Amino acid sequence: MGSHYLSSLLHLSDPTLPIGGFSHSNGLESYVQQGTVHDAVSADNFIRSMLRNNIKYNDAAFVRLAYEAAACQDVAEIIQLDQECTALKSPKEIRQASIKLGVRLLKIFNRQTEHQLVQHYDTAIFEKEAAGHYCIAFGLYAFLMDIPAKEALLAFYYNAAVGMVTNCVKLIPLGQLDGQAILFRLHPLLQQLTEETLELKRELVGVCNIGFDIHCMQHEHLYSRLYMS
Amino acid sequence: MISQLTIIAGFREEKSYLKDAYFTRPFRLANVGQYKTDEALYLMVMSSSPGLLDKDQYDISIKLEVSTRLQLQSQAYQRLYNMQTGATQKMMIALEAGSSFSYVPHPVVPHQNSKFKGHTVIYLQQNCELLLSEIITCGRKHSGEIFRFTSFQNLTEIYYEQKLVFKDNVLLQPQQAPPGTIGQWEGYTHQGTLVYLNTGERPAQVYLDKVQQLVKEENGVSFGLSEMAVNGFVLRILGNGGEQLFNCFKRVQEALWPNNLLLKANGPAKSKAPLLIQQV
Repeated sequence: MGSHYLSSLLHLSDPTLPIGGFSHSNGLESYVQQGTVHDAVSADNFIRSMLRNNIKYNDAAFVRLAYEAAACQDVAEIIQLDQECTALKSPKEIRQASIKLGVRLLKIFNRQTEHQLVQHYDTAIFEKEAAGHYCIAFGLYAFLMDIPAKEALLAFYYNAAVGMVTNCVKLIPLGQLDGQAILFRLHPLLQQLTEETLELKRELVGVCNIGFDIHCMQHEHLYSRLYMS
Repeated sequence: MISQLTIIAGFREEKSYLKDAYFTRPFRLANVGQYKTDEALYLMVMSSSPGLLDKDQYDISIKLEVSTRLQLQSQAYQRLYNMQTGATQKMMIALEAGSSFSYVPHPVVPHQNSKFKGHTVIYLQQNCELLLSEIITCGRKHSGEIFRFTSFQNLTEIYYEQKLVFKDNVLLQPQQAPPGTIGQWEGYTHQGTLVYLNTGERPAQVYLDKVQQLVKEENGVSFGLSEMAVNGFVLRILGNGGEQLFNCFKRVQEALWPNNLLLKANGPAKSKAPLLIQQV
């Protein structure tokens, strides 16, 4: 039985973890208001493109890199990855969302566990050397709680998918069963992307998705907003 | 062919000047400053080649010494031709304290089967100002050559005192990732990004509304403007014409260039005076 880590993983990747995940739409709200995402098919397209073109090269890639840096006990590398995240996330609300989620995740797990790596990271955040991005904190804890990298990544993707499905159901709106049907069909893609993230070349980390970026920036100017990003 | 361009801009007697320049074919450099009273340096990079050919390697290095102001200009659209191996461009820009650099180059036109890999690194010190943009087109659109290039990658990294503060990794592989997809070019044929960064004291925020209004006037584009984590902003835009995006970026550049924030930041008495009056 190699599943001693399973409860830790479920806890870490729980979409209902009180870190504020559901107050961020990551640009979806702009797409819905403009009518681009308006039904189950367009929602499915949005989620797939987000996972395949954005999350794979960005947040998921950083989960893996942070995990590897943690495995090497390399605090300097963790801080550098965090700075790279800040430098890459050009829409302000997306940057802030990532930091809000990350800092809250650290707060929850820090109270219960004690790890030197996290303490160093925390100090760097306190001293404003680092910001505290969600993907970095996720990768860090995944390693520290003995979760295998592959499983941690799959859970990260699953968590992102659930978040987007829930937002689509609320915003468009879609029926709960339509949302669940999308999620069911996503499983093979989540598996595939997990494998691809483990193989991703370093030079491809951080690839920009201009359309997503623009909609995330436009969100700052929406007349009425339900979400923070 | 390996081509080199090196520019060193210096500052003496309250004026910026071309201290040193070195270039090999196809590069040439022209001083295009118009007014004697203008203390800034204006240079145009010219080229005897219409663009990059297979195996071309451009190696560009620009240094701005303390307090220098340099506006670099391009001569024409940068074409990327049909290639087997691919072409590369390396650009290194170093700004010493108190200097400002502004560069809005013409759009890049990647032709069918072109392969390009670029890397731009910029180093900033205190009180520096930087404006840099990039426009990429789908190809020779009016000849029906739309997204036929093999790959285009350009990585831009900006460091402020050794810390990475901005990174933009543009990767376009039209055959592998269709540009029409949601989140990508979404049916548009041109993309542009303009970055403005100021390591001085005065907030770049004062420009946000102005730039937002300027770009809002453009028809048929989709754009976003957002503040950076450091003092600056990023403007991203999708459109259907190279000329339109280029002119739009030029207008943003003009709006930001004359009232240089740094000059004002250097004179604290001037910038603080209105505040004091308000308080009284």
